[in-house]
Amino acid sequence: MTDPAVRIAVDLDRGDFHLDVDLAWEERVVVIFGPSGSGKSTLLEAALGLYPAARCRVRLGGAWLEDPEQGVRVAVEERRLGWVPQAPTLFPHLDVAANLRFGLARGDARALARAVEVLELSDLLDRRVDALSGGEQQRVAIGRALASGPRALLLDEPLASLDVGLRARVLRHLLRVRDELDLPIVTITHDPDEALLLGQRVVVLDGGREVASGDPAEVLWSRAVLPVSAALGLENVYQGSVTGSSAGGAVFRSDAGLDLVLPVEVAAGERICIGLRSEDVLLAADPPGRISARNALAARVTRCEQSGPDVFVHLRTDAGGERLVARVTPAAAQMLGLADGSPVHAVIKAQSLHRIA
Amino acid sequence: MSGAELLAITALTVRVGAAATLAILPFAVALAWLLARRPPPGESLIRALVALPMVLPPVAVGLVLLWLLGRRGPAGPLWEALGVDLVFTWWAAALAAAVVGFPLLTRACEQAFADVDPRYEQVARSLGTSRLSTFFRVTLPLARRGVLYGTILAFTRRLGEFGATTLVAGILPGRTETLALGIYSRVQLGEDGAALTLCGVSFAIGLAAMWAAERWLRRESQ
Amino acid sequence: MSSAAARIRAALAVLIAWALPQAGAADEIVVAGAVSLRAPLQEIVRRYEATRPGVRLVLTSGASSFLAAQLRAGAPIDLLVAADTRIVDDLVSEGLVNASDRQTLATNRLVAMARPGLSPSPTNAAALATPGIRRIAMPDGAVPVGRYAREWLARRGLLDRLAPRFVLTEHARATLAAVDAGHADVALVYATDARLARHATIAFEIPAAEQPRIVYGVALVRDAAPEAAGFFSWLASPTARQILQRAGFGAP
Repeated sequence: MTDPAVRIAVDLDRGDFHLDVDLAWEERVVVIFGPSGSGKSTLLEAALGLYPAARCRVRLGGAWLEDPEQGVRVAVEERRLGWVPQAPTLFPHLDVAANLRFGLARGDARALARAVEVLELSDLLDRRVDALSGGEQQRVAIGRALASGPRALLLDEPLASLDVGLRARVLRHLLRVRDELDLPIVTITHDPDEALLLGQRVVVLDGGREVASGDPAEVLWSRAVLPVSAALGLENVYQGSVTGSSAGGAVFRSDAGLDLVLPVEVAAGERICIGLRSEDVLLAADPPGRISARNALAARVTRCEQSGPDVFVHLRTDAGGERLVARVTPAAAQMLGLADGSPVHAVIKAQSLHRIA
Repeated sequence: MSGAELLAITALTVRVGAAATLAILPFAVALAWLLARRPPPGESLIRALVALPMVLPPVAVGLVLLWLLGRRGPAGPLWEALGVDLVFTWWAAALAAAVVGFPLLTRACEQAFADVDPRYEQVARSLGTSRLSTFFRVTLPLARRGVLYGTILAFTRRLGEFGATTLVAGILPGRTETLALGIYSRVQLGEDGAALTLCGVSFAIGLAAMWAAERWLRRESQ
Repeated sequence: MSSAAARIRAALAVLIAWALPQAGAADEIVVAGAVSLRAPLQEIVRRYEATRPGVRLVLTSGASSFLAAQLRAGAPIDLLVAADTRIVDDLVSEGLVNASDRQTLATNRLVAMARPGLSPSPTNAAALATPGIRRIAMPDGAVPVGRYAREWLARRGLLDRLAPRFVLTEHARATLAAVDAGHADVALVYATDARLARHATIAFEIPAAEQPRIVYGVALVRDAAPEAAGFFSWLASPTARQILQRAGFGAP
């Protein structure tokens, strides 16, 4: 049996908290998702080798870093993992350039140049660390990890400490890192928007254990996980480009081919991310006639899930096959006769679509 | 007391203090790091031993040193064989000052290292820096202020060392007569004026050193 | 490296180079002399250095017994001048000094001094026992002047009675300083020291018949620096004798 691309198994006891997981996956970009205290950071730190007392098996970036059975235990400084901890932790006694170069002995000048370019750091190079905003610090921290030529990038809640405006900007850079550099990435978040946006796969942890693992949209809106994720964010997230404008708004086409009208001023050709709350999606059994909403999409129900007082209706749009989640009352679901496979129309006001990156 | 004499005594005192401080600095730093980051088993005992010279009367420390360094002590034959005679030399004075000042310096350094967030060191290691390299590139620079302050404090304190130094170095003008010893012997001789002059010099040095330390401290925190 | 760090490194290098001791002061002669001889010895040393360019002497003064103890502990003393020849005797018998390397230097007398404002001032030995005399300064019995003072008091039958009133000082000069500053009522000091008092006055002289025998001895320590022998001989010269006489010391 060939080894999986990534394997992280940790058995660690920290007083009243016990992390016990055995994860494996093939995807390049994976999100570890879960509420705070679920052991996400501990998982990353164990993979880095910071807990000598833990029993671990770690395979990342094509190599076994730790495996008691094979007698492998690579020292922390040899693992070549790019780590961006939760607080940026830039070295305060060095300026930005020195911080970026810190791991250079191991990395190379090209990696450094690439990092500076992708994260747009050239203006910050001679600044002192305490003169940077939170978002800038975060970008420098990511750049520092990249400049050391790592075999994988480990990000611990990279956007958590930022306010909404900065978040969008750093998120943009993160997406560039993901798309332009061919590097395995493991990123932690407790925000479902980010999870949906960033990951090819989501692993959900809770209380030190694996709760679910798989396709982001499916996992995040599965019964087991829904209470956690639904409370936090936008259930529908799409990446795509602006294709044109239309009467005071922009026309957005998602990567899957779904067209939506947005109330934003964005130049044609620009790539953006938008999000939509499930409760902002209206469902109609019949094609709506003249209505004020700018978006009316034909779709089919893939499944319905009851969670608490609401029913989450999972849809797939006819155009583009894009996923959509709508939230309705049980009575409404019954009234509309919603069942797997039923055709519906999803109505979305332009104002409900938020640009998040 | 002539200007030359005053200068000689002052220079000797500062030299002894500086040599003593520099000699123990690496040991104090190493031990402090160990205690702050990886306390070995028997940590409490080690701390107690380290604190001993600070807690004992300096004269007692001097007596122990005299016994260890002298010809009649347990290491006597060793010193004979090496042809080395440290007692009543400049070296003995420096050693006495070093031993007495060691606890203070170690404690200050330990505090400085403990104040450095271990997260920085973890990040440095994840970037490929060995433990030793991390110490010099991250821990020490971040603890710099505390270590420096502790060093100056210990140095100033050492300038006044008397008890251990008298026993082990005597009061030999030009060789082991430090400011403290000089003040004492002049008081005994009834040369109050000279004694007060030396007091004044001690005061000036102490003040200058502490002022420099405070200034350093404040500048770093801005 | 930042310029600040480079500057610190440079300063450190300079500091280290300076802090290390200079190359041996091996041609210095260390003379340890009784503190009561301090001033005349300083002058004698100056005169000797003038006649012998290139030779440097280092003089350290203290209680003769303390100096002898330092010598025994290994202090690099080349020549010891003690206020009591018995100390030299001991060093000879211990093998630290050759019997042939010793000579007597001078003699001295004891006087009784009173602090300024002491009234009534004692005029003889018996008067020391009056209640008004509460503190008598002198060093402990190992120090020569302390020993001499106790010898005399014992001969006068006053030692036991007055012992509770003793205030111990470090050496002869410290005794003088104590009575001069008024910390003690009475002190038994060398006549040569009494001359140096600024405020205290001589209460009375001890009669010649009762004087203890105070003889200063010089010892050339075995394995001393070669030049030390020259100084040892020179101490017997007329120049040296003259200096001592001017300071109030008697001939040996």
